[in-house]
Order: sequence, then C-alpha cells, then structure tokens
Amino acid sequence: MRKVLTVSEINRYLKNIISSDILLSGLMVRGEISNYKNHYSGHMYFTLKDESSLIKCVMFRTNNCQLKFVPENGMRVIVGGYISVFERDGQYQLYVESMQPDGIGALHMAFEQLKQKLEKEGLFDLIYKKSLPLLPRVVGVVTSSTGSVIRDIINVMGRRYPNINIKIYPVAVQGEGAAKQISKAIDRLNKLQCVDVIILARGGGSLEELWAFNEEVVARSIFRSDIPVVSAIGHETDYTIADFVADKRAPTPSAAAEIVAPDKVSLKNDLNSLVYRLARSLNQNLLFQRNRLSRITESTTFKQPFDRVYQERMRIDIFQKSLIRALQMNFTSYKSRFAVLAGKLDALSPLTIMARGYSVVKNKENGKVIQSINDVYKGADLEIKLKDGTVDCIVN
Amino acid sequence: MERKSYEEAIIELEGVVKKLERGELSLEESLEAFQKGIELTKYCNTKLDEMEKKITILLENEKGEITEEDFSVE
Repeated sequence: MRKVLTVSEINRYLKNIISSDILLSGLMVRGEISNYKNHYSGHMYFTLKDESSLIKCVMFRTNNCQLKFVPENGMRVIVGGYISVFERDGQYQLYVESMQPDGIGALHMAFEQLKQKLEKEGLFDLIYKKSLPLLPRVVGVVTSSTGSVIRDIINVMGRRYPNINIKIYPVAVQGEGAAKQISKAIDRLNKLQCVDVIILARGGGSLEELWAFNEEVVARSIFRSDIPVVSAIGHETDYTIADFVADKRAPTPSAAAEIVAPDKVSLKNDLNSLVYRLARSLNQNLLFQRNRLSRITESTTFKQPFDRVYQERMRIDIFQKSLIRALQMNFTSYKSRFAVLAGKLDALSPLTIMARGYSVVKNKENGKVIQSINDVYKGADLEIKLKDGTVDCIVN
Repeated sequence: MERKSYEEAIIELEGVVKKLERGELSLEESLEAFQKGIELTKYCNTKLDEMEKKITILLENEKGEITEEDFSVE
C-alpha cells in the first residue's frame, strides 16, 4: 500500500533532496537574461536561458544591491547561487547570490552603462565645458593629503608660479566611501567659493582602485560645479567617468598642475613684449608727426607768410578803384536827370505863364483865386499878381 | 584703476597696443593710449606679484565646519 502524500509534503520532500545536493547548493551558471523584472520590493526576477532551455531565477535585494551594473534583457551573465524549490508553486528556481557579465568584468560593464547614461543626459557636452582662469588666485586640489600626487602638484605649480596659493581638500581616493567624500569635497568648495579652479587628482591604479572616479555621485558633483574642474586620474591611458565630465582632462596630476598654474616667467615676458610694442609704436607716431610738421615748415607758404597778405592788399586796391568809378558814374547820371526834371518844372511854373502877360486874381479877404464872374461882387477887395508885383483893386 | 582680473587687464592692454600700432591715433590720443598702456602693465605686474605663496589644507571639525591649516610637504 503506497503512502498518500499531500502536495505540501511532496514539495517539501523535493526541496529537502535538492537542498542536500552538493552540486545544487553552490553552483555557477552561464546564460542570457530574459523576462527581467525589477520588483518594487527590490528583488529581481528573471529567467536565464541558452539555445534550448531556460531556468527561473530570483536575486534578492540583499544580494543585488552590491551590483555595480544594472542587469538587462539579452545580457550574457555568469551567476552564482543555489537551486531550491519554491514550495507554494512547486517550482524549482535558481537563487542568485552573485552576478557578473560574461566576457567582460562587472566594473567594465558598469562603466559602460554609466558612461552611456550620462552621455545621453549631456553631461559630457562641450557646451558645458568652462574655460580655466588665466591666472587663478587660489587653486583647490581634491586628492589624498598623503602620497606623491599632492607633492608633485605642489612642486610643479610652485616651479611655474612661485607665489601660488593652493588649498588642499583631503579625501580618500579609493575604497568604501571615497566617491561620497570626493563628491562632497567638490560641493563644499563650490559653497565656500574660496578657489578659482579645482584639480581632482589620483595616482595610477587598477580599475578597482580608480573606481570612485567612475561613480555617478562624483560625475554629478563635477557637472554641478560652477568652478572649473580639471581631472587628473591615474595614468595617461586611464579614462574615468570623471575625466569625461570634467571641464578639462589632464593625462597626469603633474600635467594638471601645469595646465592650471601659468608659467610666471612667460607671463612676465608677454607683458614686457607688450610694453616694448607700446613704446615702439608711440615712437613711430612721434616720428611721423615730426616729419609731418617739418614738411609743413619747409613749404613756401610757411617760408613767405606775407605773400598772401600782399596779394589780398592788391585785390582790395582794385576793388576800391572800381568802387570810386562806379560812384562817379552814378553821380553824373543823377545830375543829368535833374536838369531834365528842372526844365519840365520850369515849363509848368505859373511864373513863366505870367511872364508872358497873364495874371492871377485873388480875393484878398479869403485868399481864393477868382476863376469866374460869380466869384466877385461889388466892393470886393482883390489882389492881382503880375510878373513883377501886385496891384490892389476894388470892384465897382 | 577699478578692480579687474589679470585676464581682463591683459586683454585691455593688448587692445591698447593694437590700437596704437595701427597708427590712426592723433598725437594726443597716442600719448593717452601709451599712458593707459603703462598703467595696465603696472597693474598686471602687481597682480602677478601680489599673491603670497600659501599652501593650506581644509579640514572638517566635529561640527562639520571647515578649518584651514598650513600644509607643508616633507
């Protein structure tokens, strides 16, 4: 007689068998991710497949929060974990504890993912790159306060610009919390506004050692910074996310110091050559003006200054003569016109008529000229004017 | 002279030199430009020399405040 089991019992039985299997309790599986779901609880659900088969997988939040990169459908990965049975559904699945990209390292994958993301957002765009000050009053250096990097930077800057001002903001440049410290340092320097330019530096190291400079918080702080940031991380061949976001990438920390600190001697030389050009062009202008002046003083006009006066005087004489002549001509013509008018006047004069024997009779009382017989009456007192005198008479 | 950065002053100085070099200025303007140029040169020289070499390290105390201390390289 066979024993009758409940569903729960058989599932529990299977679970115990699987769980006690040495191979299944600790294995690595290679496959391609599909049906990827990141549940709101933080757990990741997906299936891992190859050409002909698939297996259900779950990766709990406690495990997946360690991941540097974000799993995606189609991504080829190698996962580590164990097989167990989910009793409720009677389903065996792969409980994933670790995951790494198949082919390239997890950090490389994370690097590429973040790079793509930030590039898409425009954090690397040239339009956001700030220009560096020609002569920074104070240089901020975010790096470790110990080691050769800070020493190299101080030496190079001091050699190029002996009276340079440097403020060091010490940070951990690798390990847990380094990225946060670096990000905070850049934000703090921006808040304090005590430097004109920031050098973000670290010496050479492995990808893991340089990792802090590939983290998003650092990239965001560099992008946010109003102060120009020069990155100098690792060796010339190392490229970090920070390098892409920085306003200027220097191949090495020493190179960053050279880019930031101007060479004082050459600045002084530039100034001197400007002063030389200033003096030379002023002299040229003076010479030009002097030549101009001597050209003028040697001209005829300048040598016989009264020539013009004499000429003008002659012109005045000529004018004067014509004026007098015109005046004289006018006078003669007025004189002849007067004679004509005088003749006319003479012809019309009553004296002339009286000279011919006519006379003028006036009433003596009212002085009126007698023109009709009606103007007189008996006893009227009259006056007769003749050419050579007057005769008084009474009408009878 | 009003406070300007070294960069602004050197750009202005270059402008003055170029203007003078074009030779289009009157004698009075030339003299004025020359004087301006000399003033700017002095200003730039002062700017280059006025800084005093100083290397400090910014440290955060327990209250989260930033303090500044001299830093020397051994």
